[in-house]
Amino acid sequence: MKKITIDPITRLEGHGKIEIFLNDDGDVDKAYLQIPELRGFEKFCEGRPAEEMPRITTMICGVCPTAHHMASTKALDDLFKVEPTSTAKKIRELMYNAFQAEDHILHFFFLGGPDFVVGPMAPAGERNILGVIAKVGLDVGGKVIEMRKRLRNVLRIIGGKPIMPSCGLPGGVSKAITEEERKTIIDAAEYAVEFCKFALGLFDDVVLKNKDYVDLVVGDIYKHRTYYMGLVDGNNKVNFYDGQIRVVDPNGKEFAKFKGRNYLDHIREHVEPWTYVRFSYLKNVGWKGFVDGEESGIFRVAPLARLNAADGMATPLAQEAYERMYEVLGGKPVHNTLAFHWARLIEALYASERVLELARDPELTSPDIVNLPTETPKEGIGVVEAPRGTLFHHYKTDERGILTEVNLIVATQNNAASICMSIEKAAKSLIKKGEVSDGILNMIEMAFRAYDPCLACATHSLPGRMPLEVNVYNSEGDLVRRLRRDE
Amino acid sequence: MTMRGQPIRVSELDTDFKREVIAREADCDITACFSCATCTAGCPIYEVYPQHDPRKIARMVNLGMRERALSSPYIWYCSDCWICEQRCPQNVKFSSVWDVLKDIAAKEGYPPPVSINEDMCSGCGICVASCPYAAIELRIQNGKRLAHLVTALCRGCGVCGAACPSAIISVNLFEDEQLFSQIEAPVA
Amino acid sequence: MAKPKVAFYWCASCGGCEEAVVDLNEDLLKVADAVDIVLWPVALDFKKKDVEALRDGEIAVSFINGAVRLEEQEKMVKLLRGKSGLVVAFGSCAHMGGIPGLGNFWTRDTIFQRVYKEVPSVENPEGIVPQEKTGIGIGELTLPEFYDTVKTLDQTIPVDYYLPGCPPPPDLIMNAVNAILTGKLPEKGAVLAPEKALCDTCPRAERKPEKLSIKEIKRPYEVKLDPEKCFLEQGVICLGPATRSGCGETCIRANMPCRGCFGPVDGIVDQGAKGLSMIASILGLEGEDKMTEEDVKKLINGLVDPAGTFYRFSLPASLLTRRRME
Repeated sequence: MKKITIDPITRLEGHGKIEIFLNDDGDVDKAYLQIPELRGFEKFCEGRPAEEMPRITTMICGVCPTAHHMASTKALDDLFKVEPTSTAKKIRELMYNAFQAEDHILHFFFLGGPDFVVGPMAPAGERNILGVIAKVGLDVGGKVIEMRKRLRNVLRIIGGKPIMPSCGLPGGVSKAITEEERKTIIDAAEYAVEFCKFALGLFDDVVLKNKDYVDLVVGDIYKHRTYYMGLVDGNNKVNFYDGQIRVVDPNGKEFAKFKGRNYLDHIREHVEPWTYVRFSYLKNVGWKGFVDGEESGIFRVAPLARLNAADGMATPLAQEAYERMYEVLGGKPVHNTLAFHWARLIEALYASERVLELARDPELTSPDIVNLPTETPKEGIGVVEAPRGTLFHHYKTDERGILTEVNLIVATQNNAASICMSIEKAAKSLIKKGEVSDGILNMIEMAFRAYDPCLACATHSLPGRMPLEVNVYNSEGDLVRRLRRDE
Repeated sequence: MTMRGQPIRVSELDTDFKREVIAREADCDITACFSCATCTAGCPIYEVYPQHDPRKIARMVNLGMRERALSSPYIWYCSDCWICEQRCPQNVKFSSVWDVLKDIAAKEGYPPPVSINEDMCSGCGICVASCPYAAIELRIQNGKRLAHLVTALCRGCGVCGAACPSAIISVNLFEDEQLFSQIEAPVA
Repeated sequence: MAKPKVAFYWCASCGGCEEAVVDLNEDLLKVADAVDIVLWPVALDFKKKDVEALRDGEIAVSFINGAVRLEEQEKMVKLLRGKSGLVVAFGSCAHMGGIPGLGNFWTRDTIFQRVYKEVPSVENPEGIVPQEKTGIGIGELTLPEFYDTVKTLDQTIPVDYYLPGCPPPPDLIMNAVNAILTGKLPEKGAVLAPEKALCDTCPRAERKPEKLSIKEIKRPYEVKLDPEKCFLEQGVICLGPATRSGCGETCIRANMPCRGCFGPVDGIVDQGAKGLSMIASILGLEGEDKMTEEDVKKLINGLVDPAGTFYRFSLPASLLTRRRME
C-alpha cells in the first residue's frame, strides 16, 4: 500500500492535507482531505454578551468576516425579535453585496482563475496572478486591484474597516450614510459592474473558446450529482442577504424550501475521527457516506449551487449571463464542479449591480438606522449566503442576553463532504499505475479550488511557487520517491 | 535642618508645631504620646518601609522638627488601616496626624510622591475623574489635552496611579515592580 | 546584493493578517520586488525540509501570525526562530492570543464535547471525536495535537518585535517593513505602533466632559449610539483609554466602541486588569455619596461578562493566562 501525502494544500483555513492511498496496481484506493484546524468558537462564545457576537465571529475568517458579521447581526435581530429599519436593511444588503463582489473577484484572479487563464498544466511558476497579468496584460492586474480597492473602501465607509467590520446591531446598524459617501459608493459600484462584465468577457475568451478547458469543465473528472442549496428571494431569485433556503435535488426539482429558523428540521452534521471539520448533509435523505446521487444526503452550496437552486438572478445583466451559462452547459442543474468558477463571476456581476441599485435608493441616507430592541432575548438564528456557501449562526441566551449555547454551520462545512468526494474522484481518475506528476497534482488541487474553500487566503503566489510535495512510500513505509514543486 | 545622625539643634526646633497640628485636628493630641511604639509595632507599612514610622514622626512633631517631618516622603504612605489609633494606649488618633501633616505639606509645597509623565498622556481623563481631591486637571497643550498635577491639592493617595490606563502616573514606592516584590516576598 | 529573505507563517489564525498584507495593494508588489519571499504556506511551496535546509539566521525576518494552539504550530515556529534573524509577532493573536485566546476559558475536552457531541445539528451517536491517529485498515491518518491552552507567540519562542491589531492596518505594516528594510528599528521588544493610548487620536476626545462619570452602564444595543459623544460619557464600555493607538479608530468611526485589539501601551502588564480598573474608577462618581447598597449593586451588575470584555484579545498574555482547569 503506497501513500501519497499532499501537505499542505493551498487556500484552506490553517492547514489542510490530502492523503492518497494506492492499491497494489498503483491505482487510487481511497483519498482523504483532512482539515487539521479547530479553534472552538462554539464553546468559547458561551458567556459572551450576544451583541458582541458580530464583532467576535468576524474573527472566524479574515477573508469573509463580513459574512459572519451579517449572519450574526441577523441572528441578533431574531434573538431580540426586533425588525431592522428599512434603511438599515438597505445599508446591510449594500455592504454585503459589495463584499461578495470583491471577494469573488479575488478568488477568480488570485486563486482559482489562474488555472484557466494560464492553464492547469502550465508551469507552476506561471499559475498565479503574475502569470495572469503576463497573459492578459498589466492593465488587467491594475483593474483587479482597483475594483477591490474601491469596493473595500465601501466596506470601510459602512463598517469602519474591510477586515473585521463593526456596524451590526440588533434592529439596525451603527452608522448612517451621508450623501457624500453615497457618491463614493455609486462610483465604486459603477466601476465594479463594468469590471465584472469585462471579467465574464475574459472567461469567455480564455476558457469557453478553448476546447481543452471546455472538455475539462464538462468532462467527468470533476462532476458529481448532488443536491444544491441556496437562499432565494420571494421570486426564487438568488439573494445573498435574505430570503428562504431552497434545496433542489440532483434533477433540479425543488426538494425543500424553509426559513433559516427551521434549519434543524433539514440539516445534520457527521463527524469523522480523521478531520476536525464536521460534514453537513440533508437529514431527510440521510448520511450514506461519501457518495453522490439522490439517495445520498450530501448537498453543495456556493455559486454553482445557488444558481442551480434558484430560478434566476434578480438583476438584468447577471440574468443574461445566467441564461447563457445554462444554455452552453446544457440546462439545469449543472453538476460540473469547475462551472463554480463561471457561476462565481455571474454572482460577482449580480452583486455589483445590486450595490448600484441600493446605492441609488433615496432611503439609503436616512438617519433612521436602528430600532432599539424591547423584547427579552432567548434564541435567535441568522442565515446568509457567504461567498462560499450558506452560513448559519444559532444563539441561545439567558434573559440578560448572555450566550448559553452557540451553534455555527460555516459555509464550507456544507461543501466539505463534496470536496472530499471531488478530490477522491479526481485522484482516482488521474493517478494510474502509481504515476504522478506536477500537472496531475495541480489537477487534483483544482478539484477543491473550484469550491473556493473558506479562508481561501487572498495571499496567493506572487513569486509563483505552488506548495506541493508528494512522498511515495512502499508498503514497508520506506520513502521510494519524492516529487517536489518548487518553481 | 537636623539631618539623620546629627545632634538636634534646639534653635532649629519649632515648638509651636505640635500645637499647630492639634489646632487642625483636636482628636490628635499628639502631646499625649509617650513613645511606647505600639503604633509602629502594628503598622503594616512600617513592615515594608521602616522609615514610615509613626512613633518617630510623633516624636519629631512633639520636638518641633517641622521641616524634617513635612519633607519626609514617608508621611504620604499611611494606608488608613487605623491599627495605630486602635492600639494607642494614650488615645492619640494617629491616622489623623498623617492627614494633617500631608495637608500642611501640600500647602507649603512639599512635593507629593506623585508625578505625571505628560509627554505620554493620551488625555483620557480617567485620572481627573478618579482623583478625590480634584488635584488633576486637563490642560490644552499644542492642541492636545494633557493631565496636569496640581501639587498643592494632591494628597498622594495614589488612586490616579492605579486608575491610569497608560501607566504614566508614578506614585513613588507603589510602582508595579515594588508591589510585585511585596507580593512575592511573603509567598516565596 | 541578494535580496533579504522574508517568511510569512500562520498558526491558529483566521487569514485576516494575510488579507491585511494583500490590502497593501500596489505597495505589496513593491515589497515583493524588494525581498525574496521564501515561505508563505498559503501561497508558496511550504515544506519543513526547505526551511530546515536554510542556514540559521538566513531568513532576515519571519512574520508570524496566529496564536499557538496545535502541536504542529509550535514545532514550526520553533524551527522558524532558529532560521530567522528577526521574528515579528504579526497581529493580535500572535501578540496576545487574540480571539482564539478566549478558548482559555475552556479545555480541549470541553471544546470537543460541545463541537462534536452537543451542538443540536450534529448526529454522532457513537460520540466520535477527532483523534491524533486513526487507522483506516489500509493505512493510518494523523492529526496534530490540540492543546488545552492557547499560547502567544512569545510564550513559545523569543520574539523581536510586535505588530499589533486585528489585523494590523496597512500603514503600520508598511512602516514596519520599511523600518526592517532600512535597518531603522527601535529597541528589541518594541511594539511597532504609536506609544500613546487611543484617546490621544480619537475624534471624540475634544468633546469629552471635564469629569467622566458613568451613571449607568449601557450595552451598545440599549441606546441609540451618539456618533459624536465619547462612549464612556454615554455609559457604553469602551476600552480606548486602555488600548494603544495606531488603528485610526476605525471602529469608533463606524460608531462602535473600542474592544482593545491593539493591546495596552508600554508599561502595562495586564490590559484586562487595567481596563477593569479604569472603568471601576469612573463608575458612579457623580452622586456617589448618595448611593445606597442597592444602587451600587445595580450599577456594578450592569457590567456583563467582565472577563470576556476586558480580556477579549489578551487572555493568554495576561497575568491570568487561563481559567483554572478542574
